[in-house]
Amino acid sequence: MLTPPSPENEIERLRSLYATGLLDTEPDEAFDRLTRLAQSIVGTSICLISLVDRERQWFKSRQGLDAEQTPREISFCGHAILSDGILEVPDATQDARFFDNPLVTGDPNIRFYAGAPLHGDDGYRIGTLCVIDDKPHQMTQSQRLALRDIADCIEEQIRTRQQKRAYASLQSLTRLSTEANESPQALLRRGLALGCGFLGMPFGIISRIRGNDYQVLLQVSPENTLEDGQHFELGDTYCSVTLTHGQLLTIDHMGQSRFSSHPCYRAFALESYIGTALTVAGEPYGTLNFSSPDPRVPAGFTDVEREFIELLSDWVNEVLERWRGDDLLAWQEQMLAAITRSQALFIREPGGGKAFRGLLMDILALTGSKAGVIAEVHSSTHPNDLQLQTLYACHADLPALDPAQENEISTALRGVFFASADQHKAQAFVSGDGNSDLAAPGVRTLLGIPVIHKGRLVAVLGLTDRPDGYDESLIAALAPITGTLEQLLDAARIQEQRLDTERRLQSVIEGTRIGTWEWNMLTHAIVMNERMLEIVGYRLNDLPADARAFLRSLVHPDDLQHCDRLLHQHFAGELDDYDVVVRLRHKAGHWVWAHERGRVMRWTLSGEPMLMAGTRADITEMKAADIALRDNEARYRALFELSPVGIALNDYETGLFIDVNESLLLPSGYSRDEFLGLSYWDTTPKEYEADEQRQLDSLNATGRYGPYEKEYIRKDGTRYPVLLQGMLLEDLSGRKMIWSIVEDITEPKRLARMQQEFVATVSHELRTPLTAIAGALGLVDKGVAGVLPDKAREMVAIAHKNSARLSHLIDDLLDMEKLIAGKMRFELRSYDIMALIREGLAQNSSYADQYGVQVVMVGEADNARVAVDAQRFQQVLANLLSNAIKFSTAGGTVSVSVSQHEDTVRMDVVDTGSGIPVEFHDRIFSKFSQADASDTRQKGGTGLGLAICKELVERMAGTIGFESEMGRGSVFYVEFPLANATPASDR
Amino acid sequence: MSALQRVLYVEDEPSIQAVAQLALEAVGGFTVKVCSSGEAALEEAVGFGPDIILLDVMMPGMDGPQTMRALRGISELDDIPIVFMTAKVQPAEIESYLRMGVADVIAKPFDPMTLSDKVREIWQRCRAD
Repeated sequence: MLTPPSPENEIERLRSLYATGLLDTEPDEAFDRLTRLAQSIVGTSICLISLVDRERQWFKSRQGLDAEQTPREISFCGHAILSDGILEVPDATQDARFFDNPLVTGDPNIRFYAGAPLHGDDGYRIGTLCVIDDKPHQMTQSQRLALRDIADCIEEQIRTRQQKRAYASLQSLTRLSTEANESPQALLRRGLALGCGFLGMPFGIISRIRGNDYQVLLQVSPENTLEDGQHFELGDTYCSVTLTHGQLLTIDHMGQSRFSSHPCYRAFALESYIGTALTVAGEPYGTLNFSSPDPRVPAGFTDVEREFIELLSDWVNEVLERWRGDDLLAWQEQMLAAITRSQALFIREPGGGKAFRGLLMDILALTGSKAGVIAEVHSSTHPNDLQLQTLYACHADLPALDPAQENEISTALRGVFFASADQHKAQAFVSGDGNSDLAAPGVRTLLGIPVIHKGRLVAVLGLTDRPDGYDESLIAALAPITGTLEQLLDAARIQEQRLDTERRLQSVIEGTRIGTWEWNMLTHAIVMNERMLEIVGYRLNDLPADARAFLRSLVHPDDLQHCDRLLHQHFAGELDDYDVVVRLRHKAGHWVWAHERGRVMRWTLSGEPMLMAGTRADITEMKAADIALRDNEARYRALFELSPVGIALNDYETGLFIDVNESLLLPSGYSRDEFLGLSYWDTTPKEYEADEQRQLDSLNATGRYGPYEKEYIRKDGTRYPVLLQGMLLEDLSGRKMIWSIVEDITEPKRLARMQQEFVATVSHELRTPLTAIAGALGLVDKGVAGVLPDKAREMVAIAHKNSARLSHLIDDLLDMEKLIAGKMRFELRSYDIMALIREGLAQNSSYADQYGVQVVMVGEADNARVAVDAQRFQQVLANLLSNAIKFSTAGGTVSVSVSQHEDTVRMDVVDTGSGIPVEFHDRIFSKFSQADASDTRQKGGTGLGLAICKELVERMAGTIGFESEMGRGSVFYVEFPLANATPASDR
Repeated sequence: MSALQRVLYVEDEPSIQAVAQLALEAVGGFTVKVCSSGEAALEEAVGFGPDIILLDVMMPGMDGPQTMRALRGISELDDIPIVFMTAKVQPAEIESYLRMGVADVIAKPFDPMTLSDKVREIWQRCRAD
């Protein structure tokens, strides 16, 4: 048997055969009709349209044979296609090529065979129209011609079909392109199926290629070997070649091609491939490709197929463009939905945690990112010292973002945004693979969007691992959502501040121990805090079902009506607030004072109160204090009114009288109303203006003024003397007022004058006879008026001595009166104190002699000068000396010592007398004071001496004092400032 | 230098007149003319021819200063020292008296035993001036 050889143009022949698309198709009556015709014309039992495939012959139409195909190697047709003429075998048993052919030796026992080659569209012999019989046969010429004619008809039929098929595919394509109701995905998928069917290839793919990422956008594959959305490395697909190829790429037999080392071939063993690049909106998009594990050998892809694919790709481009448009729209809608959702969540949930998380998840879904963070930027005092704190971190597929990844993202974001000091100018940042700018190696692709609020970088949105990578258009598309993020962050901050304020308010409420309540008038429900009931000794648990009735029952019966009236007035809109002070019965039985405040917070549509809220404060203590204050005030008011001394309250600024008491009004001649219309200055004569100013200065400096004397002008214009003193005070509003005590001193002044006149008169009237008595007795005592008997002289001496004492007493009284009245005049001049003391000692030496006491001078002050009135100084020295002498025992010594200090000079008069009892120390310089009343008589003093000394010394800017020890004597000292700077003017 | 001999003493109070006169006559050894008023002194002074005149300040009728001014108006007496005797011994008063032209002021009550010495001292001081 001779196996038919493959013709030289076998590949092209096969391509031509495949292009017919007839192989393995259903029987077709049009072909069957022609085979029946040939069968009847030639008169054979079998007639076939045999298509010679690579390894077989397949019968598109068959008459008189059951088999659908037989192997090519035993086929007669394999021989028939080797030449253009009809292959005629009259008797196979006699033909060397076929006698041992199993089709000859066995069923169907071929004896006669005649096959007219069938040409494909491009002239290649793709098969035969053959007639077969089990008896040898010889065709007539007309039979031969008829067979050829019929074969031509079949060729025509095949061409027509082929064109029809291409036309049908195009028609399908056209139909698809007009089906606007279907979604782009469904249309594209049908397009792919159409392509697969047309090409006879099982795999059809529309891919999206970004960078190195190959994504299966849509696919058609046997038993879903592929999935939509699947990702591959671009290099692992034939499309990497397609893209570099730049035009339609066909690979008929990968294993035999120069791409046999392509990873895709190694991985998937796809032998044939046809693909073209897709361009959407002028941008490279991906590919449209079909592939098959079968090689297209030898036929490869026909021009029709190529043309079809190009048409299909144009259509796919269009659909994709439309889809992208739809997609953008859908994307916008999704984004708006995300924004709305986040805003709604934010409003619903305080703090907005869910809103942010939801928004971030939506952003991940929208952008196709795997992970993302929203991080807040904290800046301390230094603008460069920024902290990034992750608020929310999410992963698209995981419940939470891995902390390590979160850290990676944060690190990357920090690297991007904190690198420059100019954060407020921060730009969105996009990075792809291998971007060396990223500080975090774990982050492949990153989108960092700064959230700028009021010119300040407040937060950062970071997204990573988007398969498509990130680009500027995405940032622009995300603008509304980043805007929302900014608003939400800002709102969250404000909300946080508000919550903080609320928390503080709450703590203040708790701190101030205020009860709060809310009364729903429709449901009659009353909500209150623990404090509300605590005030009246109850707990919330004690509250019965009818809370309102219970609360009402606690109100004092006398207050209830008032409360109800106020409440109704508030409901009627007459009062802005319900505000009342009530007594409430405490659980323990006593009454507590409460301040209740409330306001209707919500009204029904018909204007009825619906919800009222308010507070309750326990003001029992305040009330008690208030009552005490009022009692106090009443008491003080009584004192004020009853005070025998005038009291006035003046406004500091205007001088107007605000309040005056009766005692102030009485001498003035004004009524209260008249007086209250007056100013301070209306009652004060002009000449006191300077004095007034001095007192005002004192008031400003010390808060007090006076006491000082001036005159008030009566209503009738006459004047009366007053003594004023007062203080400045400020009321709660900060208004300054002057309280003054205004004493009408008309009467005291008159009395003082009378007293002075009396003392002067009495002193003078006493002194005149005393001068005579003392003088006369002195003369008699000294024998000037003649010699008296001893007894009489003794009596006269006593009388004389006592008259001197009386004279001394009168002198002291007059001095004291002058000092008190301020009438004593001092002539202060600079004196050498030693000279003064020596003179004093000389003057008093006879007195010392009289007591048998020696007066000695101790110490020396070198040229120490004092500014004193010499006469008064001598009066002081005489007084101290006479005291020391009087209280010394006879034979004793009184020493006068002088010591000079830095700024002062001191004179000590030291006696060795009995000393001064301690209990007398306090009042030794008081008027009419003596240690022992008997001393006055024994020692002959008036008790005014030291009081006068103290006045005199102090009027001369000196100090006087003493030290004394019982039984050891006393030291009286005076100390004067040194007056050495003053020019000397000794008398 | 002649000695002080004639003292004109003007005092309205008789008991003081008596004491002072005794003191001046008995202790000082002076010839004393006592007048009970300023007016009387004006009448007597020229006739008496005093070496010194002692004038009480407070007197009914003409008081001390008025009397002094009147006496100063009498040419025969215009260089006779006049001394005031007064219970008012405030330094300011003394100064005002001195400005009037009195030779000195003797405080009342006076010590009768030293009065004459004091008067003599004043007279001598005036003579020295």
